[in-house]
Amino acid sequence: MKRMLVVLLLFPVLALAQASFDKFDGMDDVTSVIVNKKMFQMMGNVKNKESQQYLNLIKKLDNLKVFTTQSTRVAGEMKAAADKHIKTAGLEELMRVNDRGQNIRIMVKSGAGETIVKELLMFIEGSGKENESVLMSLTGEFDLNEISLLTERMNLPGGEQLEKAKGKKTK
Amino acid sequence: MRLLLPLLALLMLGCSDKPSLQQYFVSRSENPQFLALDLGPTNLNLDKQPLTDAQRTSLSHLKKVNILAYKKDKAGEAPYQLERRTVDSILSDETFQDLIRFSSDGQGASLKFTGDVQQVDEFILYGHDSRYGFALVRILGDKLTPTDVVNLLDVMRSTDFPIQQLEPLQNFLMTPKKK
Repeated sequence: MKRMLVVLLLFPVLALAQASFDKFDGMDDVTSVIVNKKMFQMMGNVKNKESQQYLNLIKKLDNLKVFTTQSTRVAGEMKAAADKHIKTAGLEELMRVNDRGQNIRIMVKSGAGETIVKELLMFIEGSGKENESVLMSLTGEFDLNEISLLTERMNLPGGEQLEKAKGKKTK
Repeated sequence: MRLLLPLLALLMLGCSDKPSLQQYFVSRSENPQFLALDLGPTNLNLDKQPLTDAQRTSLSHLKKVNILAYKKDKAGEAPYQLERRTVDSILSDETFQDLIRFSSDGQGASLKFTGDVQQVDEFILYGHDSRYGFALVRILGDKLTPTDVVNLLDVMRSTDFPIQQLEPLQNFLMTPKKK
């Protein structure tokens, strides 16, 4: 009974963590891509020429969410949601870059081990002509050093920055 | 416990009035607002192609493909939204497990499946565009594995997938609205 109560009490907290960014899914002016754990599991089970390293990484992923917008208003909301999530989920800043007028922040939730990460959150604040802001969240339990495999393969934003970031964490 | 039983009963009642995806396909197939297309592995014309053994095996795990498309025309927004809601509600059932979801202004697509990661019963592709309408594609398999899917995609890519089979669909959705 007691355990039940704990679960019940915890449930909204867990649900909240999951739902931090869900409001952006299907929102006007937002393009979103959400990849679920089952998709990663399926991809990881494909028997073909893919490298074993890539397949192993894929299987360790839970969720990938990418939201992009060109609306300044929505970008503001994304930033607020990211800040809030960083606090509630206890993420640490891995790096902050200012690249060609784009403000990029990469946050991680560390797991067991030096380079193991449970969540990677990236926020790219758009500016200039294209003004495209990107919010990306990747959850699972994976090695930061492997992540460039993924950004290359899936054409994810910020691959270049992540490549720099992985050096930073190992130092 | 005493509370649980009526709750369960209510839950079951709630489920029973929701039509299945199959029922939805059947009930809409005769509706002029819809286009229904059924493709079997035989009329995909793939068996005449030179296939590797692995590809042939994968093809044998594909039972059929059912397509149902709704064209948004002068009837306008209300009936489109109504159909969309019906489909959404059917697909919200947890037997349909989410794989990928994409959405952008007025457009969206999702890929779901039923069964197990290693043995898929069915893939469901659902795409919608507020300008044209929506389409549902059911890919029914028999012990279809993720490897089979990749093999089948390879076959389609390498052999000029018989697009003429899908032409009615394209015409149906893309022809300009009649005034």
